Amino acid sequence: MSALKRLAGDPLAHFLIAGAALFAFYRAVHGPDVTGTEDGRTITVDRPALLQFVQYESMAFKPDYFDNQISSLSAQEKQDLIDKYVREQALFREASAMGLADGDYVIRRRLVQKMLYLLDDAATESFAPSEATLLSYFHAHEDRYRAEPTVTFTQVFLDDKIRRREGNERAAEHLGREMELKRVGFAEAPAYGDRFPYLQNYVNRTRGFIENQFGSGFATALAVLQPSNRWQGPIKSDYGYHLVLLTQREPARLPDFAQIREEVRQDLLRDVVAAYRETAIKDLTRRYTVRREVN
Amino acid sequence: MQHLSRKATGTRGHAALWLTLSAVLGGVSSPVEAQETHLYWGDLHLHSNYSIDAYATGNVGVTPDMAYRFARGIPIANPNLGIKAQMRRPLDFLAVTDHAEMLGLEILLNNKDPRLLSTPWGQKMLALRQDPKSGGVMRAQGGKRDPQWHEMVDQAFSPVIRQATWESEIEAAEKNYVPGTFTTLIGWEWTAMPDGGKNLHRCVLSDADGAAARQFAPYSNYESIRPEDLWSFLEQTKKRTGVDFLAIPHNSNLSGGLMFDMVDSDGHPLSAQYARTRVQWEPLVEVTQTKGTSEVRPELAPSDEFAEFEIRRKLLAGAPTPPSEADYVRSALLRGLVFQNRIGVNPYELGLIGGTDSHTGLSSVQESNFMGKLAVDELLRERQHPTSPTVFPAWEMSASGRTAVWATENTRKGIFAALKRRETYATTGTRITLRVFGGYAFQPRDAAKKDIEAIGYRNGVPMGGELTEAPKDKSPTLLIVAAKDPLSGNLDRIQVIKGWVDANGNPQQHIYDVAWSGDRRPGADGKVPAVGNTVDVKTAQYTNSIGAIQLSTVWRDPDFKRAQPAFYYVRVLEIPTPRHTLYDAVALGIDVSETHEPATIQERAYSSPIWYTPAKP
Repeated sequence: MSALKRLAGDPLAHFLIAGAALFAFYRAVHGPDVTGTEDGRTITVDRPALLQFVQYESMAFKPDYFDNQISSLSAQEKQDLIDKYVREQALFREASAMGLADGDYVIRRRLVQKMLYLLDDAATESFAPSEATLLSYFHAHEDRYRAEPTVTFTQVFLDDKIRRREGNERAAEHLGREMELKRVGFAEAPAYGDRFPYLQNYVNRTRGFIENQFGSGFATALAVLQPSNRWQGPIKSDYGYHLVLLTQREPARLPDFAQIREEVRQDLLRDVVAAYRETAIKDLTRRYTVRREVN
Repeated sequence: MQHLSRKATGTRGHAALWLTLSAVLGGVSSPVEAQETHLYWGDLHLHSNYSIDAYATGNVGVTPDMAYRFARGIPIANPNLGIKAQMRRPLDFLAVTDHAEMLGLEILLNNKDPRLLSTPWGQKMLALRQDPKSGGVMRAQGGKRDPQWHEMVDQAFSPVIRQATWESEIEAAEKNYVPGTFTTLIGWEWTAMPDGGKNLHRCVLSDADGAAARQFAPYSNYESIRPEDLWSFLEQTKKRTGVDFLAIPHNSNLSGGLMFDMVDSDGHPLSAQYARTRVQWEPLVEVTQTKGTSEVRPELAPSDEFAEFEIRRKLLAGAPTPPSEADYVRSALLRGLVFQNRIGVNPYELGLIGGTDSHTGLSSVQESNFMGKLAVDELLRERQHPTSPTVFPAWEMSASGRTAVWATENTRKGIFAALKRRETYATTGTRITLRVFGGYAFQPRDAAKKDIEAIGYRNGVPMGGELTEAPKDKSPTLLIVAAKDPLSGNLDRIQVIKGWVDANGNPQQHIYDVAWSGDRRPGADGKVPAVGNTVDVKTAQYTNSIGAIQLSTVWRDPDFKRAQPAFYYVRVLEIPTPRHTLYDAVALGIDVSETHEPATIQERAYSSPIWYTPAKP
C-alpha cells in the first residue's frame, strides 16, 4: 500500500490536511488576523469587513445580496452600521487583551464544535459512494424508505345528531342504494347527506390521517374496502354513518431508488460521518496520556 | 362488515324502487341545507402582560382576563393610558397565546409569590426589576449556554411555578367562554429562535376545556427549539389526555430561510414521515400580522403588482434578510406540490389565517384607531420619537390581522373543527366576507344566485378542501363571492392565485384577475388597471366613490392540465384607504413622508387554498 493510499484511508490524516487547507483558505479570504496588526489601536473598516459583519448579523450568507444592501444604505445608515462594527471590534480587542477568552467554557465548547465541523467536513469531502454502495444501503434499510399505504375516497355522511324515522343505519343503507341507482359520481357527492366536520374528499391519505379525523373504528373498516366505482358502506365513525366511494388504494411500497437517491445518499453520509468522527476522535485522544486522579 | 356484504348484493337500476326510496328518505338525500356555516371573526395570536416581553415593553396591566373581556366588547380600563378602552366591533373568538418561556413571572413578582421569592433566582429577579434601566426580568433569561441558565430555570421556572401561571391562563379562558357567543381557545406561543434570532415561532392551540388543559403545561423553547420535538410533545400529550392540538407558524417572513425549508432540523432532506407529521399538526399558517405579511415577497413574484405590501425585510433583531422561498407562504405552497410529486406527501398543505401578535393585550387592527404592537406605541409621541431604541418602530408595524372561519357553531368544538379542516381565511384587519367553493359543476349563472352557499356546498368543496377525479373534459371551477366590510373601503378586485407543477416538475404560479369593479378593461398583459385612489392626504379621508360593494363570479381554470397538481387561493383587494401612518401624520401635523411609510394601504383578504391532485391514470 502506497503512503498516499494509506493516508487517504486515515481519518486523522484527512482531518489534518483538510484543517490546514481550511486555514489557508481563511487566510486567503480574510487576510491576516487584524487583532494584532497596526498599533492595535486602529480599527480599519473596509468593505469586506462590513460585508462579513452584516452577514453574521443576519445569519444568512449571500454576499451579492448584502453587497447591494450596503450600497443602498443612506449615509446615516452606513454610519450606524460602521459604528456597530467598531463597537464589536473594540470590545472584542479589549476582551482579548484582558485574556477573557482564557478558560472560558463557552469558548472552549465553541472551539470543540469547530473541530467537530472540521472533522465532518473532511469526511464529507471524501464521500463519493458508488451507485452499488448506495443501492445496497437502500436495500439494507428498506423499512426506513417504505411509503405507507394511502387511499383516495369521497364520502356521504349521515350525522348521528339528526335522528331519522327508520333509524340512521337503515337510512344510510337506503341512501347508498339510491346513489347507486342514480350513478352518483365522485364530484357529485357533496350534494348528498349531512355536513361532515372535516373534509369532503380525502386524496392519497394514510391511515393515520384518517384515524385522526374519523376515529379508529372507521379507519379499520375502511382499510378492507377495495377500490370500486360503486358506493360502499355504510361505515360507522365517531360521528355517524358514511357511504364511501373509494377510487384508489396505493399499497405500501418501496419508492424507486432513483426517486429518493438523494435522501439515501444523505442518510449514508450521516452514518459515514458519524463513524468517521468517532474513529478520528479515538485516534486523537490516543495521542494523549491520561493521568487519572479520580476514583 | 354486515353492511358491506349486503351492499355488494344490493339491487340496481329500478326506477320504481328509486321513487319509493326517495319518498321514504324524505330530506335525507336532499342537498345540504339544514346546517349552515356562519362567519366568525377572531384573533388566534395575542399577548397579555403574562408574556415577559409584553411586560418589558410597557404592558404591565392588561391581564389575560382583560384581553378576553376587551375582545368580547366589554369596556376595560387601559392601565397604560388611564382611559377606558372598548372595542367597536367585538370578536367572536380569541386565543390569548402568551410566550411559554418565563410565562407570568413578572406577575408572580408583583404578587410577591412565595414559591418564586423563596428561591435565590426569584430574589435576583426582584432586584432586576427594581432597576428599571436594567431591562427587567427578561434579562435573566440569558441563553442555554450560560451556566447559570439551568439554575435559573430550575428555580424560577420550576414545574410548580409553571403550573401556577398556566392555571391563570386557563382560568381566564374558562371564565370568558360563552358557548354560542364567544369562544376562547386555550393555547400558548412556543418561541423557538435558532441561529440567534431566526423566527420559528408557533402558536399552539388546543380544543381543551379547563379540566383537560390542567393535565399539561405549555411546551417551551427551554425544552427544545426543534419543531419535530414540539410535534412529539403534542403527539404524546394527545395520547395521554385526549386533547387535540394545532401548531400555527407565524412570521415565516422573519425565519431567515428556515420556516418552509427543504430540509429538517438536522439538515436532512424532508422524508415522507416528516411531511405526514408536519401536516397533521400544522394545517394552517398565519399569513399576516403586525410584523408584516408572509404571503409573498416581491422579489419572489416579480409579476405580482400587489406584492409590495407590508413587507418586512429584517429579522427579529433588525438584521436584514434576503428574499427566500422558504420564508413565504406562496412559495411554501409551491414547494409542497413539488414534495408531493417527489415523496408522495405534501408537507406544506396550509390553510390561511391572520393574527395580531399584539403585545398590548388589546387586539387592535383598525388603521384609524391602531393601538400598536407594543404598549409603548399607544402614545403618539412615542411613535414619532421613541424614548428608547426599538427593533419594532411603531410606524413600520401593520395594523393587522384577523382570522375568519366558516363554522357550524361558535363553540370550541365548532371553531376547532373549522380550523382543522381549513375552512378559514385571513384578512389584514378588514372584515371582507368571502366564500370560495371549488368543483366541476358550477355554472356562470350561479354567481348571480341568492343561495350561493347552498349551491357551493352542494356542488363542490369549500376553501381548505381538495379536489381529485376530474370528470372527463371538465376543469376545476371556483364559485367566489366577496362583500365589502361595511366600515371599510369598497372592493377593487378578486384574484385567483394558481400554483402548479408543470410537466418538467417545475413550480409555476399565475395570478388571474377574475372580478373587478367598474368597467375597467384588462390590458395586453391581462392585468386590470389600478382602481384609483380617493384618499386625501391632508385630512386622511377617503370616499367609496370607486370600487364595488359586492363581487361574485364563477371562474373556470383556462389552463387546466389533468396530470398536474395545483392549488388555487383567492385574494380580494380593497380600494386604497389611509394607512395608520397617515392618520398619525395628520394628527401630528407632519408630512406623511416623515413616517417613512406609505400614506395608503389596499387592505385584503386571503382564502385558504383548494388543492387539485390528479388521480392515478
